[in-house]
Amino acid sequence: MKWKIIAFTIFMCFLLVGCTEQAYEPKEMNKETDICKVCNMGIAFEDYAGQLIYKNGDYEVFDDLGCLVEFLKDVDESDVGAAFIKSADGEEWLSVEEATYVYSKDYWTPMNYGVLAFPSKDAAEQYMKEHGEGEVLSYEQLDDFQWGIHH
Amino acid sequence: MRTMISCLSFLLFCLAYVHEAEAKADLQSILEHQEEGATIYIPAGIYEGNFTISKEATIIGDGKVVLKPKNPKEPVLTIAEAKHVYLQNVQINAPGTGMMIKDSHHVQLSNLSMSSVESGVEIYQSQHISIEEISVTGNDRHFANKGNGIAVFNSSDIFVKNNKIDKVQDGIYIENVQRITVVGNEVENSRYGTHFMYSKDAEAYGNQFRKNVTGFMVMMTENVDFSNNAISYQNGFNGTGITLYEVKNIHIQNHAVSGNRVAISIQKSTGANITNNRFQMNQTAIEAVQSDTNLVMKNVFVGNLVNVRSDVKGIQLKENYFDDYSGIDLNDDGIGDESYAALQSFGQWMVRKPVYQYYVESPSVVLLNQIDQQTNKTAKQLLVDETPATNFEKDHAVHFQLHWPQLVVGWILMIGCIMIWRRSVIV
Repeated sequence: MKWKIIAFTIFMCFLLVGCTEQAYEPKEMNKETDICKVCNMGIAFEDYAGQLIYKNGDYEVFDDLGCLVEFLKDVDESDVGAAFIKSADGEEWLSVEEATYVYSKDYWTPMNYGVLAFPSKDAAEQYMKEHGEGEVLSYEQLDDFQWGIHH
Repeated sequence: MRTMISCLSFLLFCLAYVHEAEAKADLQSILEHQEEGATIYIPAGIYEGNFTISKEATIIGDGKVVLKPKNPKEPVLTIAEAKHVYLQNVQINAPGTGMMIKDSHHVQLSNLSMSSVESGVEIYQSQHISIEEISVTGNDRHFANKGNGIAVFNSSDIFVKNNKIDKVQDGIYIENVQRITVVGNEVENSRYGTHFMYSKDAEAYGNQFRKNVTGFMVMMTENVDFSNNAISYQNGFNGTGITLYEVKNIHIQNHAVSGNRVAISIQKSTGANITNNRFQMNQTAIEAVQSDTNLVMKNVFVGNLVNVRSDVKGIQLKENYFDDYSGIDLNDDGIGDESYAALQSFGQWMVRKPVYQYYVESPSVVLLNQIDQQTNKTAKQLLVDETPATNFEKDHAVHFQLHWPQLVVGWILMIGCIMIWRRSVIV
C-alpha cells in the first residue's frame, strides 16, 4: 500500500510537470552570425536587440524593437512561445508584452525607430528625466505605431 | 670639445622643446583669435588638446602635424557653426572621435590621417561638405565595439572622395542625407562599406569594397545611382556585396561583383534596375526576398553557384549571359533560341533557410538543378530569361598599349644576349 502511494505521488508529480507551461529562456546573441530576420542588419548593438522563440524551440533575432514588432504582425501567434527585447540599459531581457516603452525622435536605436523598452513605468520616467522627455507607449500601442525615421 | 658638443646639443634640444610647447599652448588661441578668412600654417609638431574651429579659415599642416586629445571622450577637432573652413595635411591620433563637424557649411577636409580612432569624422546638420583623400584606421576590436569611418547625419550636398578606411564599423555611414556623392573610396575589414539609411538622391561610383560583411547596405533610401564599383570577397556567413532593403528607384550598373556569399540581395524593394554588371564566382549572384518588379538586364553571370533565386516573384530577367546556358543561337543574333530557366528549387529553399548553402553542389542538388532546367523552361512567369545572351564579349577590338620601360629593358636584354652569344661563338 505504501509503495502504491509513493508510486501514485511520483506519477502525479510527473503529470503536474507535464502540465506546467514551458518556460522560454532568451538565448545569448552571437555577433558573428546573428542577423536581423527583418532587415538583415548584423546584431552589432546587442543592447537594442530582440528575439522571438517559437514553441518548437526555433528562434529569430532582431536588431531593433521595430523589426521585432513588424515580424510579430505576420507570424502565427499560436506558434510563438515568447518574445523578448533588451531593456534600455542593456542589462536584462524583457518580455515584449510586459515591458513599458518610450518613444522620442532623439533616442537612438539601430534602425532609428527611437523606441526603448523598460521593465517598469518608474524606470521609463527615470530615463526620461536623465535623457529627455518622450512619449510613453504600451505594448498594444506599438501595433499602430508609425515605425520609421521621424526627424 | 666634447663638453662643447654636449652643451650645444642640450641647447638645441631646449630650443626645440620650448618651440613645441609654445605652439601647443597657442594653437587654440590662434584658432580663436585669427581674422575671418585667414590662412594658418601649423608648424610640424605634436599638439595636445580638444580644438574648436568656429571661424572662416584655411588651416594647413606645415610638415608632420599630429593632434592628440586632452579629453579622449571629446573629439580632437570640432568645426562648429562655421563656414568656408578648409583643413588639410593634419594627422589625428585619438582613442575616441577624430573630428566632428556640426551646423556648418562649405567645409573641405583633405589629406588627413586618423589612426587607432574609434570613429573618424562625424558630420551633423551641415551642408556642402567635402571630404577627400583622408585615411581612417580603426582598431582590432569587434566591429560592434567601434564607430564609423565617416558618418553623416541630417545633412545635404556631401561629397566623399578617394578616402581609405579600414577596421571600423561602417566605412561611410549616411543617415537622413540629401544629395551625396561617394566616389573612389576604399573600405576594407569593416562591417559595411557604405551604409545608406533614410536618404535621398545619392550616387556612388568607382569605390572598392573588400572583405567587409556587406559592401553597400542601402535601407529605406530613394533615387540611388551606383556604377563602376568593385565589390569583392564579402564572403562571411552573412556576407553580401549589395543589400537593398525597402529601396525605391535604384540603378546598379557596370559593377564587378565577385567572390561574395550573395552578390546582390534585394529585400522588400521594387523598381531596381540592375544592368551591365558582371557577377563572378559568387555563391549566389542575385537573391530577391519579398520583392517585386526588379529588372535584371544585360548582366554577365559567370562561375556562380546559384545565379538567381527568389522567394516569390521579384526579378525580371532580360538578355543576360549565363555561363550554364546550354541553348543554341541558329540565327547568330547573340540571343539564344531557347529560354533560360534560372529557377532552382534548391535556390528557393536557400532563401528561406540559409544553412542549406552548405549542400550546394552536392550530387542530389546537382541532379535537382538539372531537373529544374528541363521542367521550368515552359514556365514564363518566374526567373526565366526568354532572351538569354549567348556571348558576353561586347567589345572585340584589340587595344594595343606600349609599355616603354618594358620595351627598352627588353631590347637591352636581347642585344646583351646576342652580344654574349656572338662572343662565345667567336671564342
